[in-house]
Parts: sequence; C-alpha cells; structure tokens
Amino acid sequence: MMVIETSGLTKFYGTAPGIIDLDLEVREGEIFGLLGPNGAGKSTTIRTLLNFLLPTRGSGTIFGLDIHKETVAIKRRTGYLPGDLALYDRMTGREFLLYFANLRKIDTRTRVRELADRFDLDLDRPIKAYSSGNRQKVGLVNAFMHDPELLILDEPTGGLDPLMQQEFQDLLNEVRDDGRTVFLSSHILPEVERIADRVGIVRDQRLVTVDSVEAFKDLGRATVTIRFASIPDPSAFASLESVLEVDVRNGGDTLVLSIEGTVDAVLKMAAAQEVLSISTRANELEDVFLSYYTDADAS
Amino acid sequence: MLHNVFAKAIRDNLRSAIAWMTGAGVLTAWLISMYPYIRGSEEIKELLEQLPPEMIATFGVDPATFLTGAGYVSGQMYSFIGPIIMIGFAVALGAALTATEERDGTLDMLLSAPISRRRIVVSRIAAGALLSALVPGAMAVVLLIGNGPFGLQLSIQGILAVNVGLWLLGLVFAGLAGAAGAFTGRPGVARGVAFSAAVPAWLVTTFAPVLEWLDVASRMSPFTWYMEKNPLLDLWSTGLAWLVMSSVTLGVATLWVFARRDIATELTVLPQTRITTKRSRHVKPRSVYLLRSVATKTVWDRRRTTVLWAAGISSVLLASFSAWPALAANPDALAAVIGAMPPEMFIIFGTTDPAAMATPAGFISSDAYLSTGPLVMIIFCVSGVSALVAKEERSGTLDILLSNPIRRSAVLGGKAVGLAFLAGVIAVILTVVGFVGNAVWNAGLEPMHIIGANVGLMLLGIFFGGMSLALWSFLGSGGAAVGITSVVAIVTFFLNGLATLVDPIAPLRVLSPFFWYLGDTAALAKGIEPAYLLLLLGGVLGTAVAVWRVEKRDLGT
Repeated sequence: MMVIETSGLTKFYGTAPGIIDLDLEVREGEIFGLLGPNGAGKSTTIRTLLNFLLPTRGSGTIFGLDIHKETVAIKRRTGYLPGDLALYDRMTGREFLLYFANLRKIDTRTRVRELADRFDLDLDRPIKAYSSGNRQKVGLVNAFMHDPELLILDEPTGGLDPLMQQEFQDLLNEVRDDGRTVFLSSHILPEVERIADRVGIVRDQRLVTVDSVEAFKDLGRATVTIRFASIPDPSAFASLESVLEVDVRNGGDTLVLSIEGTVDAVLKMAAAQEVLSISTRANELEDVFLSYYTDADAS
Repeated sequence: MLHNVFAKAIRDNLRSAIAWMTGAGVLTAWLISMYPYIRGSEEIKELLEQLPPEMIATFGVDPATFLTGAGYVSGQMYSFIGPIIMIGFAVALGAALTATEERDGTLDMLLSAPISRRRIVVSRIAAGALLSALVPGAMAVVLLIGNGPFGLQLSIQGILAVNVGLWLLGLVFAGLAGAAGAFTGRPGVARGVAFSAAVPAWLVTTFAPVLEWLDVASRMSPFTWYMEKNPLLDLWSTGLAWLVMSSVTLGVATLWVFARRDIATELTVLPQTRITTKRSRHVKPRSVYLLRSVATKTVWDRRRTTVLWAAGISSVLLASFSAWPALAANPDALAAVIGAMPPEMFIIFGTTDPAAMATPAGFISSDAYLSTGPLVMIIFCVSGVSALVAKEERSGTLDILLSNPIRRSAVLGGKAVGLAFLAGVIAVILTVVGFVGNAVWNAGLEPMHIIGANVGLMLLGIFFGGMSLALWSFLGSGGAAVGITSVVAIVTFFLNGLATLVDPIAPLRVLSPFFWYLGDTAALAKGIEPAYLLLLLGGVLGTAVAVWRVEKRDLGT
C-alpha cells in the first residue's frame, strides 16, 4: 500500500518553479529519503504535501486522503519536523510540547519523558535559551511523541551531535520495525545511505530517479587496486570487457582499475603473477548521486 | 492555559491586555477626577463659546454639553484618547492573528498539528475580541465607580453603550489588520494598513461638521458610525450596527483569504484569485549606501521609525501652535481655566509656574516639550537601544556581526552614534516645524528658543538612551534595560515636580534629568541652557560605560 502518492504535483511561486510534475510513491513501512542539493525542491515538496503550499496543478494523497481537502485528517496521523525550525521562544520545551499534545487532544507526557531522556534534553528551560541542537531535539520529540503512522522530516539531523544522530537512527529503526513510514529529505548522503530503504533524487525541481539504496550501489562502478611483486602489463587488463579504465601508479607495480560488473576476470588475470595486496572499494551512493549531477551538467 | 489555540492566544496576550487596560482605566480615572473643577467654571463656559468651530471639532468638544458629565467624558475620553488606546491594542491583536507567527516561522509547526486553518483563525478572533473588550471594560468600571462621587450623572445604559461602541470600533480596525496580515503574512503591513486607514478616517469624521465636502466620505468612516451621536446621551444608534457588520465582513474575509494562501513563502500567491504580490529581492539602490558601516546601518534600520516618531511629535507641536490664537484671543478665560485647577496638578507634572501656561511659550511647550514630546523622544531612544543592540545579541546576529574584523566597542559606538544622529534628525525636523508653526500662527517665539527647546529634547532622549545602553551592557537583557530605564525616567520626572511641593525631598531635585531639562522655565522660553550639558555628559558617560563593559563580557549567553 502506498502511504504517499502524488501525480503530476507541481508548485510554481509566481513564475519561479518550486517542484515540477512530481510522481512520487512512498510505500507503507519504508524509510524514503529525498535527496538533492539546496534549492532543488525538497522543502517545497514537503510543504506542499502538508498543505502549507497549494499545488499549482497535479494532486497528491497521503493515506489515500487528499493533501488539500483532508489535510487535518492527514495531520492527525502524521508527525512533522520543519527544515527551518522555528519554535515559540518564550515557552519552555515542556510547555511547547504540552501545547502541541493538547492540539492533538492526546496525552503524550510519558512518551515525551521517554524521548527527552533518550535525547538527553532538559525540558524545563525556556526555548530561547536552547542551543540549536536542543531546539532540533524539541522539534524531533514533537514529531515522534504521538507515535504517528507517518513521519515527515525535513533535514532531520541538522545540529545533532554524532551520539544523538545515532539515537535518532535507532528511533527510525524502531519506527520501521513497527511498520510505520518515514519520508525524509536530506543533502547529507552517508546519512541517507545508512537510514533509507529507498531514495529519490531531485534535481532542478524534478524527481530524476527513484530506487532502493542497494540498487543504486549495484548500479555503478567499483574500484579495484592491485599491487604486484613485478611490473604488470596494463594493456592486458585494459582489454578485459569489465574494465573501464586503468590507472598505473607507484612506478608501475600498482594498477587502479575501474570496473563494471563482476571482478572475476580481473582476479583470474591477476592471479597469473604474484600479488602483494588487493583492495576493492564498493560504490557509494555519493558516487551515484554525483554522477547524476555531473552527467546532467555534461549533457 | 495551553489547552488549545484560543487559550494560548489569551495567555500570549494577557500581559499586554492588562497593561492597556490599566492605562485606559487610570487615564479615565484621572480625567473624571478633574471634572468637579471644570463643571462649575463660568470662565470655561465663556471660553467654549468663543472657540472657533474647527478647534472644537478637533478636540471632540461639544460646547453645548461640555460642562455636563456626558459631554465632558465623551469629549475628553471617548473622542480621541479612548479610540487611540483601543485601536492601538486592537491593531496589535489583529496583526498577531496570523501574520506574526507566519513571520516568525512557527505557523508551519502549528499547521502541522491536526487543526484547520479556519479553526486557528476563529479561535484567535474569539480570543482577540474577548481581550480587546478588557479596555472598554476597565473604562466602564471606572465610570460606574466614579459616576456618583464626581457628579458625572451618566446613565448606566449610556456607559454601556459608549464602551460597546468603542469596542466595536477597535474590532473594525483589528479586523482590517487581521485581514491585511492574513493576506500578506507580514505583521508590519498589517499594522501599516490598519493605521493608515484609521488616521484619515478619524480626520474625515472630525472635520466633516465644518467642511461640507467631507460629508460623503464621512458616511463611510467607522469613526462617524461610532461617534456621530454621543452614545452616553443617545444610547444605541444605527452606527453600531455598521460597526458590527464591517468587523464581521472583515473577519469573514480573513478566513476566506487565509484558507487559500501559501504560508510563509518568498512570494505571496493566491492561485484562485490570481493575485500575486512580489517581494523585491533587491535592496533599493538609494538606501544601499547606508550599509557601509555599523553607524549608517543603524540609520538604515530605523529610518522609517524615525520619520514616524518625528511626525508624531510634529503633529502634537502643530496642534499646540494652531490652538494658540484662539486661546490668545481670550487671555482672561485661559488664565481662569488654569486658575480653576489646583496648582499641584501642574507642579506634579513639572510646570512649577502654572501662570506661564498662559504665555505662548508655556502653552505650546506643555504638550510637545513637557509631556508627549519627552515621552516620545525617550521611548524612541530607549526602544532604539533595545531593538538595535539588545535584540541583536538575543537573536544571535551579533555573533555574525562580530565575526568580522571589528571590535565590540566599535560596533557599540557605531550604533550609539547612529541613534544619536537620528535623535538629532528628529530635533531638526521639529525645529523646522516649530519655525513654520511660529510663523503661521503668530506665536511670537524667539528662533533661538525653538532651537534650544529641540536641543534639550534631543539631549534628554540621548541621556536615557545612554542609560539603557549602560544597563544592557551589564545585564545583557534588553527587556530589563528598558524596564529599569522607564522606571528611572518616571521616578525622576515626578521627582522634579514633587520636590518643589514636598520639602524633605527638595534637595534631590537637582539629581533629576528632568530638572536639568525643564528647570523652572518652559522649554520654548529659553535657549540652549548650560544644564543641557549635564544631559549630554550623562548620555556620553552611559555609552562610554557600555563600550568599556561590553569588551569584558560574555556575549549571547
């Protein structure tokens, strides 16, 4: 079942495009990461899904409910963390969370206490006295405190230290284990790679591709570095079908091979000589991500 | 108090509501306590008969009824000061309906809760209507209590009617601010629209009785609906129904617009109505040159505020000038009015020689240089320190500013210089206005005295600005600095007057900056006094202390 579904969702600010023809499907129980550089349209997408912005054309549903007409019903089941977090400075963290719990007409005190402990957050200071990391924690507690079916998180880990980022990741895993759904945006690639099941890449106001993180990793190239006891023949390796590029280093005894597909042929050829060391580096999402941008720039 | 949007709106605004309510109540009490002195005065009656109709109109005074309780109360309280207080508070509430939160960015968070936009607006309108009722409510209570003891002879229904009218008048302008704020998402625009509608509306209503061509326009002014008839005497009029209808219409318009808008975007778009307002992304070229230094940026920050406040004191000054010829025509009557009141009333407010009130310098000084003027000038300087210095530390922009190769003392000094310059700009504007007023209404003031009065006024502002700057540098809190400076200003103001009445505190009078400023002579009756040097030194000293202290303090903790 799809939790979020949009078709041709488009938002123009006057004549300036925010997001164009977005067809997005987020499945129940997955963590979906929306990747893209600043200004690509991530926040516009999220704010349109939440009815802060009215779509210029196209439509969308969350839980099968219309994002414009049934927004209140959607929000009852959704937790949200804004990218540009603004809180009521004069309240304490506890007052702030109490207010939003009241607006949801539920008692979240136990859950808030639990989350505040996990995030090591002192709730009884005025928000204006918080550091940016602590403000972010208040925002996260607010998004998680009612255990929503869907979490929409815009740049969620900004300002969090590595310890808290780990805590946040654990929290997301629990959400996934419960079968709940997360839709998050980020420009921090390793983070999305660690957290997300599927990734969508946004470029220039358009969603250019969607796939699982694993598929993205398989898709690209791997790098194999081999150091030989004697000088090998680079052209022999270059003639192999799986080898795209050969780089000779270290006075000729080291080859850095860029390969596509399996390493089998390379290994067999290398085994004919004495090999001192071999290392392979798998593709990371970053390579894929960057290739989308550089390829697009080139074309 | 955090149960829902309504309760939180009450909580957020309760403090300011109590402040406005107290102000309105105390002012009403003060004005009706003077009524017994006015009532029996033949001289005032005579004066009223001789005043030109224009002046009577502007002061909301009806000569036929002024000496009755109903005429006095409506003329003194409900035709000008009451509406100012009511509209001031109501417009603030209207701007906070949606626009303040939209600007602050917290509206996103609020709307992520399962609550509709309509619900938020309706809850806040209800809270605003309730809170704004506190102002006329307090005035009504004071009138009900004072009615007997001060012999006002008002009917209970009349008291009710006039205060309901005042409340509805406030709601109309709150509705206008609310609608403008919901449409643009900018609280400044909301306030601007409401006030710039209120001022001409008031003028139209006020001058319609003497200027016939204003008749049509005045039919459409909320002030006409509110005060064409005196509700204290005529009770419920059809005007009140118009007030109800227009505030309801504005409320509905607010709901309609707000439900159809993109929230907190660079561009404010109404797709259904194809109305687009664009915010310029570029700074206007003509003001860019002001961004060269900290001092000039200060001028840039406060350029609109300065013009606004200068216009405020200027209008007070011109009103005083324009009233003078009518009063001068009846010197005996004016002297009698002054004589009818106990001298203590003047002395408490710093006029040690009440008889001087009957001279042009004394009379014209009394508003622009004794009461309203100093108040406005001090607020300008003190709030300037709060907005320019303290707020920058609180909001964290001071960190960015100081990440540049510039010393803290240079930042602070630049801001102090910029602010002092702006106080000077106000003084120059007032001097020009003073020369014009003097020539047009033949007040016969010495040019040097006009200059002197404005130099004194400027230095008074600089003195208290310097004080609040020094306080901020030690306390690190703008609110505390403003609070303490205000208390010091109020205490020393009354110290200056009371010290001449109460012997034990008489020696303390020389410590009051208001004594240095006022002395025993009206500001417009003297030139640049040596005592003004003390004000200047005080302001410079305060700034110097702040510059010294800020180098040695943790910032933004």
